[in-house]
Order: sequence, then structure tokens, then C-alpha cells
Amino acid sequence: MSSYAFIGKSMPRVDSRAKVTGEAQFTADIKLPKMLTGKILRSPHPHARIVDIDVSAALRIPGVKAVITGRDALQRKWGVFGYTQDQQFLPSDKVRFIGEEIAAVAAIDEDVAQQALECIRVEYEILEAVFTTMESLAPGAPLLHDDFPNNINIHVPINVGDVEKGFAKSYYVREDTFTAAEDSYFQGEPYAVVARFDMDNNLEIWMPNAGPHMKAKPLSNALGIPLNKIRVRKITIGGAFGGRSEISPADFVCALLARKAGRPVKIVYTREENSIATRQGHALITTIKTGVREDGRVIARDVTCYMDGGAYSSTGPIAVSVPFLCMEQAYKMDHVRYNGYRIYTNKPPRGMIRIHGRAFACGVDTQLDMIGEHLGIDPVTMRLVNAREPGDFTNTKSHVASCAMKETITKAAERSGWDDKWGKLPPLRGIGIGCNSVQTGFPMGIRGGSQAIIKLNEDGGATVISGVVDNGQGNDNMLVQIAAEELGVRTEDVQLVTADTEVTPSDPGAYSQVSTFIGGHAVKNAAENVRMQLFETASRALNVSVDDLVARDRMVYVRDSPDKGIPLKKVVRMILAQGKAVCGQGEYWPKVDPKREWVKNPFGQMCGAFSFGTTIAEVEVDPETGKVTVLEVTAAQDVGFALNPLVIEGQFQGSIAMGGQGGILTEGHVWEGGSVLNPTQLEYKVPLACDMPKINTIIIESNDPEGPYGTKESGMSIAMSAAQAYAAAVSNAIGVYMTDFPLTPDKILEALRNKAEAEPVNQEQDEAKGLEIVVPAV
Amino acid sequence: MRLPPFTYNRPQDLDEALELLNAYGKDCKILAGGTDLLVRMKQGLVAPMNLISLKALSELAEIRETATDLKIGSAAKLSDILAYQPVQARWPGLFESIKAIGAPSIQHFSGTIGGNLCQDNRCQFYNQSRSFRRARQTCNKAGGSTCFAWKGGSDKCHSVCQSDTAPILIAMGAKVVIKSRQETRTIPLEELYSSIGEHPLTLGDNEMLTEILVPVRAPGDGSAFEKLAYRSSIDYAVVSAGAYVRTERDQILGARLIIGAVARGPLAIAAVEKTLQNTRVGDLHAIDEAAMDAMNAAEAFIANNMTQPVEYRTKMVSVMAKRALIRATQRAVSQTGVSEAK
Amino acid sequence: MNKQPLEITVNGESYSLAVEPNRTLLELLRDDLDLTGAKEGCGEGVCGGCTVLMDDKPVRSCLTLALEASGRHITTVEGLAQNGELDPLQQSFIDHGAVQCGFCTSGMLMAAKGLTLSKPDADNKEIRDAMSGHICRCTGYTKILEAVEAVVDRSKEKR
Repeated sequence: MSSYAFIGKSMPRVDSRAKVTGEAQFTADIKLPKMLTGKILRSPHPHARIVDIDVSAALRIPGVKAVITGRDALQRKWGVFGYTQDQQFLPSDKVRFIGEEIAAVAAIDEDVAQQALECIRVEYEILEAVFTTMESLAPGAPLLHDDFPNNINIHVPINVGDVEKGFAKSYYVREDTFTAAEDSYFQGEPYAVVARFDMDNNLEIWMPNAGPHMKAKPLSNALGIPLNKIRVRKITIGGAFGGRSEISPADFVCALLARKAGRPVKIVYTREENSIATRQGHALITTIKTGVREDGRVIARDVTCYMDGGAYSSTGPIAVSVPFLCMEQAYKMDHVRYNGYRIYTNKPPRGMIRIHGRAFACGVDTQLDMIGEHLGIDPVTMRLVNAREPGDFTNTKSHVASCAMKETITKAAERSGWDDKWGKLPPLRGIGIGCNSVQTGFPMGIRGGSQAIIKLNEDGGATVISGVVDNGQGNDNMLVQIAAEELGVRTEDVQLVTADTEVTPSDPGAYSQVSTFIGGHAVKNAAENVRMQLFETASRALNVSVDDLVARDRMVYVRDSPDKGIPLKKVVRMILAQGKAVCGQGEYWPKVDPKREWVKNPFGQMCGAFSFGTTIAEVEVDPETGKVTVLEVTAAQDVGFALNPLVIEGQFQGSIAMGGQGGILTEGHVWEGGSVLNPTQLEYKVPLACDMPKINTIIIESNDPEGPYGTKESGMSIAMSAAQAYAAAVSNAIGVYMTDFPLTPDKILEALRNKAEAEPVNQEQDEAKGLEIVVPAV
Repeated sequence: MRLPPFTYNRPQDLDEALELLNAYGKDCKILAGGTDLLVRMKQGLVAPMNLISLKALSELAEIRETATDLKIGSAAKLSDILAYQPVQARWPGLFESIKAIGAPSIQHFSGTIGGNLCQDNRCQFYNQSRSFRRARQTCNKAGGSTCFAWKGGSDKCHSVCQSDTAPILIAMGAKVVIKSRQETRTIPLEELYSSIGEHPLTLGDNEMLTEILVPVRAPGDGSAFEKLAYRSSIDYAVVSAGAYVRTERDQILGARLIIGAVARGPLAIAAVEKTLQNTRVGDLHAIDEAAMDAMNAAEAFIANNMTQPVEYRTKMVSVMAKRALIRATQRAVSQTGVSEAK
Repeated sequence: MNKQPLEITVNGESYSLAVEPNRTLLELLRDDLDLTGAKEGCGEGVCGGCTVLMDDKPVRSCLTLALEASGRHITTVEGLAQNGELDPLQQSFIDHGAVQCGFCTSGMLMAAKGLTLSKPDADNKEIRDAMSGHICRCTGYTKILEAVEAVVDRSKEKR
């Protein structure tokens, strides 16, 4: 294994130089000749019928070059799935959330565009609005979409075995409900789009995306132009976290403005717009009933989850399924039933986000701790008893080929000093563990596979053409590492042409944790193909079999005899001299069950591999303020194989910040009706450097048989398990199981007070302790 | 986010600045560090026709000591005050309060002490974008006639004063010098605040805060500032407290406690003086009682003007009060300042 | 609106410009001088993405009027490398894997540069404090802090 030149080695990323010098160009940095500034008028009402829009005053303002409304759009509704087509970009019937796009202008500068927006008169007929899942489901509640009765957008029903029988057989059964507010992406880069049409009417468009092809097809549909005329270009992307997966109305609006104005248009969202008009995480109400054997092993589990989906479907069926799937991958159960409902409300649409619903993941693990306490079993043992093992099938019939879940638990426990701490920490200190599992890929039908093309140039350099996109996680470097390894060149010899729909073949995108497993695999296959072309020519020149050749450090040579070789460049030139190009393609399609469908048939092989992660957190709670200080966090993940440990550590650390530190302690949207009261980073409290704990990272390699070099997803099962671990640690510190997330200081203090009221004697002791002061003797 | 148009004036001395201020009157704002004003201008909360920059007025940036006072020019940068060596040992409460403002690389190199004292009040329903505010009625502070922060509405604005330096400076007995073209007046800092949410300062249109006078530390006195925020940097206070305590031997002679971030202005807790006077240093019951005084006084003012719940903020008043009083007392008896480790 | 004259030095280059009073330093850098390394992540002085050095001190360029920078020396991320050679902080960010999506990177680098200029012997707590006015959503900050610490430690060793 260690014979690799680049694979498995910590190496700085190829894209980092341009990022530290400021040369890396993000969408908002683009400047084109004659470019206009686009701005979007947004609905001030959570639910209203659009009676009339008058743009005439806006059009009269000098410098305004185009104004568009729903009348300029094809009257088509879009959805990720055929059965979720509910969103018309620039709606013409009604608005369904505060911030929904109503009209847009393109003008010579931002001031003129803003002035024009102020002049657009919209007549609304205000409709009754609903802001929570329970309000939406109440009888007689106003419907957001006429064709979705009871405001139920998606219902995913899964029923495996017989849960009632399972409960009957159980030694102990309990049911608990967990809730959580909306979390949010807060990518570094606010959303931005630049669009222009060239002289042949091709649309050229730049925007942050988690898969250019995922953008191109809906744009083609919405604009009514063929796919080969849509050119989503590569651009540096400032983070995604699930929030850049689909087409954004801004993409459509920008393209439409550019077409109407006949000039390039740039739209840059404010931080507030990025929060209310891209995507948010779902708010959840999750009820979990679990029955176990005396040894803690789960026999049956029944989960009902209500997800606040906001006004439109977005990736609804996936979002409803993933929290359940993560659980069934992580933990064994004999019988399981799931009813996941995604409910429409008059709030911004919700998408996929790292923890996939705090009330689900943290609920499952919190309840395991509750059960463990009842049975007298510690949390680590509870998880070992239930942990997934290699060779298992999940309840929905996915085969788990590689799995080192138990190792992540034992290694994390060992490193964190679990045995010395569990039950032995002083009051108000706590330790907690969380485990989870994430899919390496989603079933994506015809867009599920990736194809790559590699050509070698006469100087021995390689051009790699792939649809893989880098959102900041290091995918570009991954492709370079793989191509350089397989071709035997240096990383600086590899040039990428990626994430551009004009030239790069189909690819599922980065949003299902699948870039290495599928896109990287395709590049590996393409590189093997090209290498074979080199070997065929070299084998004749060296008079050895192709099987005896290796490519390394710009040379093709006989295995174990580096002196018997030819420079790679020379081999390329030999082939060219034969009148042939050195160019090859490779592709990879995951071995998933093509009949598996999120709602209608949630059974069969889900994806190629599953990752498994465990996080342990140790915290201290200030009993007077409820504030949590996180002392140390240990994260262990089975990543299959670590392609680049430096990058993976960074993923773990970032996952702990977003999933645990922010996700559990401080982050959550606050609402009044349909208004988000904290749309910016001032009041939506993403973690800061000063509050981050010491982090230990443990990379565990189970060598997945299918993944390239044994790799699979890395990082996200840490984000999820970190949330669970933080929640568990706080609960452990205060001696109260917390069920409503995030665990902000006010909730922790409230829990402490309620507990003290229940135990009046202890209260006085606690308070006396809190008041201890040291005044020097006078 | 764009700034609205205005004319920019950079007077070369204070007289010229006061002259301009007199001429422009209402249509004018003073630009110091810009960290508060420019955000509000971008959000369309204020649109002054004229800005008067204090950049060239080095006379307002001075920090010096006299026999009686530490004199800080209103345009002194927060980073310069922190760097002024004696502050840490002799005005520890002030040092702590400046340290607690925003984040070092945001506020400290731009923000000024005058700007921190003269910042506008804040409210989660007011300090928002135009489009946010368009989704609801205009509130009192924005010129309308309702208050979203007060349950059931109110004809008064219930925004909150978020200055971190005001509570401790008032507790320490600071005075401020206010100048106009016509006159110079020196008033206790607490009189700078009107306790009117719509117009939280008592400054006249032609007046400017030019100097802050902080009494020198006397033997047996101590000061401390406490701030609660969910993150350790960037954030505004959930509740803050500035405490000043005078002791002799093991007796508390006097104490002043000002609570920040709860009311329309810094909230002086008058009862504390009486509660703590002539109590013994280290008398926890007295401190507790003083903390309860603070909570009881603050309770009537705390509105739903920030994302943290009202009930929680109310409880935190007593915690911050207690901590500030204890530390101020410790400093009073030990005659120490802020230790380097802090 | 009346433009006013502005004399400013950016990355060692002097400019004589005329700008509108309501132009921020960030707009001047990005839109007029095509120095797009500084980013607008929030526009309200919170995220730190627009941080540049003004006379070697970090400031939020989104909350600084261009005219307020008159007569000052501005350094942006584009001005950190000298004669094609990366600043040690830039190299350290690369080597330590402190860069993920890169959107916060220029602001982080400028804060770190400001700190190392004013306090070359900063301890780890001071480094952490100096970097705490900047929001990074990708890294969890660990590698960013390590990158800055490594540069500070190296300069301590040299002395």
C-alpha cells in the first residue's frame, strides 16, 4: 500500500496557492465588459396572492436595462423530482414566504438597480399563513399548494419487520420526543451569479454549485433552451454544506435578465439574502420509540418525524429519508418503522445540511443514553452492542461491505480517556459520545455516474477533464493526486478542466459525499486507460510485457529496475509519431439498485459504501449562566482509506465546528411569524476561533472493496456524531437529558433550575458552591 | 451593501468641526470609527446629508493623566486605550470593558471610545435590512408608532443601549466634556443618556462629545466589568455590569453598579449603594442582596429586543452584577488591576 | 455626487484618484482597483472577509470610507507576496492545510499579518484572540491557528 507516490500522503492542496494570494476568482469577483448589476425584489408577505405588478416606473429610470417578473418566465414549475414540481421561479400566482422572488431588474449599477426596485408596485391579496408544522397540519389550515392536501409535501413510509411484535418482546421500551430549530449553512461566500449570452445565444453562467450538471438541466428546462447551449463554468466556490445543490431562482433570474438586457448581468446576494433565499436546514419534531433487550441491543424502533420544509419541495424526499438512513446504517435493529413527513410552511425552503436534523440524530443517541442509564449500561457499551458490522445488511437492504464502526468507538473512547472519566467527572463536567454513518452517494438515476477524459500532451503533461466540482473540500486536489499517481507524473504536470458543462461529461456533483468514490474513480479509470496506452508502446520499446511496467516520476520503467526505463514524455512522442493521440476516457457507475426510489421503493442497495464516525466530547457547564465550555473533542472516522490525511483532518475539525460547537451550542434561526430575526452572522452564532476546543482526530481505514484505493466518504459522519456527542456531554454534565436543540445557555439554565426544584436539598449545596468567593484577608 | 450619498467633511481642527456641526445641525452625523454608524447607514436606518470625519483631529485622540483624572479624547482608538499601560492596573474595569467590545480586528483599530459611548440603541426588530423592515409596520424608532419588542406594543421605543464602556465609566464616576461652537459643558456621563429609545443621547444637534474624564484610582477602590455573550468575541452583550467599590479596611464604604444591555440607557442600580454601604468585605449575603436589587430594577425594562429570551436576560442581571461586585471588591482590597493572564 | 480627491498607497503603489464620498475602501479596492482578494461576506463588519491593513493595522474595509484612507498605506492580500515570493504566513497556510474554500483566507491572512507586525512574539492566546474576529465555516480554525503559530514560533526562534 505504501508504494504510492501521492495517494495516502498528506499534501498541501493544489488550489491553496491561488487562495492565499487572492488570485482565486469567486463569482462576485467576475467583471465582464458591459456587465450590469441585477437585483431582486422580494416578497414582504409570507403568503399572498399576486394581483398585479406594475414595473412601468422602474423602466423609466435612466440606467435601467431590463425588468422581469413572472410574466417573463415560462409558466413551468420546477422540482428535483417529477412528483415534487411545485416551484415557479418568479411566481405569477402567489408568494409563499417572506423573501420570495417577485421581480428583478438589471441596471448600470447597484444604486440604480436598488432605486428601480423601490419603484416596482406590487398589489397583493394577503392570505392566511402558517409557520409551524403543527399549524400547517391543523384541520382547515390554508394550503400552500393546491395539489398537496393537508400541506404534506412528502411522506416517506418505511416498515421493516414487525415493530409491535418487537416492542412486545423487548425488555425495556421507551418513547421520547426531540425538537430542533432550523439550522443554516452560512457558507463563507454569499450566493452570487453572473450570466451572459454569447453571439450564438449560448448561456454562459457562473455560480457556486455542488455539481454544474445539476444546475444546467433545470436551467435548460426553465429557459426552454437545449442543454448544449448552457455552459455552467468553473469558478472558485466558497463552501456548500448541502446548500448549493440545486438550481437557485437567482440563476434563472440572472439568465433571464441577461437575455432581456442583451448584456452580462451579475447578482450578488447580501448575507441576509443568502440566509432567507437560498436554503435553510429543517426544523424537526421527532418522536422515537425504542425497545431493547436486557443487554441494550435494540430490537425495535419506531420513528415519526415532522420536518418543517418551508414553502417548496427542494430536495424534500432525500431530506426526509437521510436522517433515517444514517441511523439504520449506524445501528442494528431487528424491526423498524419510519414515518417521515415534510410539511409545507410559509417559510424559506429547506434543503440538505450536514447534521440532517439535530432532533433526529441527537434524539436517537440521547435515547440510547437514557436506555443505558435504565439498564445500567454505559454509553460506549450501548453503542458497541448496537454498532453496525461489516457484511451486514441494513434494514432497507443495503449491503455494508466495509465497516469499522466498532473500531471508531473503541479508539475514540481510548483516546479521550473515557474509562477514566465516565461517571467520575466532578459536577458540571460531562462527557458524551455520538456515532453515525453517512452514505457515499445517493441513488441519482441517469446522473449517478461520472465519466472523465485524460489527454497527455507532447511534453508529458496531462489534462484531466472531469465534471467533479470543488466546493472547498479539496476535490480538485483529489483529482490531481489520483491522476498523478496513475499516470506517473508529478502533481504540477496535471491540469484540470473541471466543473464546466460545455466540456465535462456527466457527474453527480459533490453533494452526496461521492466525489472521490465516483468522480475520482472515473479519473482513476481514465488514467489507467491512458497509462495502458503508454505501456503498450513502452513495452515494445523495452521489450517487456505491459504487466511488468510501472509509471512513476515522469518515467515508464520495468518494475523494480528504475534504470530500465523511458521518460514518459518520450513515450508520448513515440505514440504521437505513430499518428495516434494519447487520450483516454474512464467512467464509473456505482453499484446501486436502480429500482430504489426515495418514497415509492426505499429498498435495495442505496449506495456504494458507508462511512462510520464516532465523536466524544467533554464539556464544562457554568451553573450560573448555563454557558458551556468545551474542553476536548475526539473524532474517529472510518474513511475507508485516507487519500490525503491533511485534508481529512481539516474536514473532521470543520465538521466538529459546524456540527457540534455551532450545531448544538449556539446555532439556530429565531423567528417571528415568517421573519427570520437573525439572518446575519451577528446574531446567527456560528462558532469563532476563541471558543473552539482542543480536537483529536483519528483516521480509521477499513479499505472499502469498491472505493478507489479503498476510499469512501470522510468528514460528514463526524459532523453528525459531533452533534450527538456535544448533546450527550451537556446532558451528562448537568444530569438532565436535553431534548430541544440547540442547547443555548438559557435552555441549559432552565434545565438546571427545573432539576434543582425537583431536588431542593441539592440546590442549596449547588448554590453555596457557586457563590464561593475569595476576598484576600484585610 | 451600498452606503447612501452624503457629503464628506474632514475638518482640520476642533473649531472647524464645531463650526460645521453648527452649520449643518440636524442633517449631519459625526463619523468616528464608523463601526456603528456606517452599518446603520447601509441598512437605511439613517441617511445624513453630511458626515463630519474626526480623522484629522489628533487633539481628540489624546490620552493623558492629570492629578485628578485620566483624560481620554473622544476619538481615541480603543486599541490605543488598551495600549496605554496604566489603564490595566489603575482602571481595570475600563480595560475589561474595552477588551470586551466586539473583536480586536474589527472594533479595536477603528472603533473609538466616543463612538462606543455615543452608539445608537439597538433592537432585533430595528437593526435589520430595509427588506426585513418592509415586511412589517414602521416602529417607533424608525418614525412609526409601534414597538415590536414590547409585549402588546408600546408608544415608546424599547431599544437597548449596547455600549460596553458606559456602564463601567458611569460606575467609576466619569464625566464627559461636550462642546458646541457656543459653549463647553462638563457633565456626569450618565447625563449623556436620555433613556429615550428613539433618541438615546442628550447631545444637541450642534454638540459633540470631545473628552472623557475618568477619576484616578483612590486607595481602597476597585472596578470591574462583566459581560455575558454567547460567543467570546464579536457579540454584543446579553447583559453587562460595571461595578465600582470603595473600601476601607474590611468595610465597603460605597458601591456603584450600572447594568448594561438591559434598558434604554445604562441602568444605575441606586439601591446597591445602600445595600452594600458599611457591610463587611466578603459578606456574600449583602452581595446577593445587591444582585437581587439589580435584577429587580432591571426586570421592568428588559424587552424582547434581542434574540436571547427576556426571562434569561433578567436572571443574568443578578449573575453579572454579583460577579462584577465581587471582583471590584477584590480589587479594592487587594489594590490590583487586571492581571496579564486575564 | 461630488467626487473628492484621494491620495492613497495600495500595496506600495501610489494612486491619485477621485472618489465619491460614499465609496467604501472595499468597493474602491475591488471595483476600481480590481483587487478582489478582499471579500464582502457580510458588509457589516462581522465576518472579517474584507480585512486589509491600513498602516499595518487590520481594518474592515467594508466599514471604512475610501476617503478615510487618504494618505494611508493599504496592504491587501495581493500585496503580501514580495517579488513572487510568498509571505511566510501564506506559505504556512498552504503547508498546514489552513485553506479550504478560501473565502475567509485573505481576511485571516491580513489579521495574522497585522498581529505579527505589531506583536512578533505573540503567544497562542494572543494569536487566537487576534483571529477571533473572523468567521471560517470550513476549517474549525485548528489549522489556521496552527499555521499562524508556526510562523510566530519560527520568528521567535530566529531571535
